[in-house]
Amino acid sequence: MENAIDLKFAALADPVRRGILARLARGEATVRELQAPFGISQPAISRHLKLLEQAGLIEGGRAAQSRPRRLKPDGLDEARQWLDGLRTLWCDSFDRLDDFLGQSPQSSASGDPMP
Amino acid sequence: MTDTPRFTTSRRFAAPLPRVWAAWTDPDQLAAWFGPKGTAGSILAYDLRPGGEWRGRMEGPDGSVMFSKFVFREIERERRLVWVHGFADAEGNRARAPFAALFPLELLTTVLFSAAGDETLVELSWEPIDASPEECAFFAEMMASMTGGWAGSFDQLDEFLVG
Repeated sequence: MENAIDLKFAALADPVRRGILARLARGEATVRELQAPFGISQPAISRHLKLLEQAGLIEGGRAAQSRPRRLKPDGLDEARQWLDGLRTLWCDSFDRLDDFLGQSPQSSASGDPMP
Repeated sequence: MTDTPRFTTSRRFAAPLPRVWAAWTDPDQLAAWFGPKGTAGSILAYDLRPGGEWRGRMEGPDGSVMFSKFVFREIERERRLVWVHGFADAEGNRARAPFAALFPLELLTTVLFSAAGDETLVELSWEPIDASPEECAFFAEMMASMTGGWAGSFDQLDEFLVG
């Protein structure tokens, strides 16, 4: 579902929302607890939380009164996969190139007979 | 710190230089190996000349799609390839990495090829172009943990994302 991934990336594009995720990575937090360190209004925090929730990155906890939010397991998997892929791009590619060179004796395009 | 971070890696391949060069410069061969593990890649354009573009499409294991655009700067047969490396939108316009806002927009990629007996040494470097100090720091930190057991940790991912 490309749409769901677009939502995640759009949600991650904002520094406040990335900050909220970093905070929630240390444990669940209520709107009030999140509001203090970011110094923005409660409606603004709620709006960010709504976007993060729609993107499937966070979820509400069971305590109905304060509705603490926490990270959704696997919520960041796509972003993590891409970032990880970029980090290991050359290592991965070199491994695959090694295999490729080992497999195809001489370029089939050239049609040269094997020595 | 005004120094531009530079990521370097090298590998010795058990194949003669002309063959390794062909694997990098023949798009059919290139498509067989280039790209992160777990992604399916295809080459949309490959124009091997200064100013020419190598554009690709990558599909992640979850079906999400990314586009890349590399623009060649220097081509010296069986010696050297230099290109400007970056992401793109589906139309081939330069775009930021959608999953990491602080990843530098463009990286200069330099690949050096040299024969070492029957084998071939490939040396590659990656460095940000015109990047902000924050982008340079993000790139340096991200690439420094190349071999770390990072994949399982939410905390570290969040640090990367927050930059």
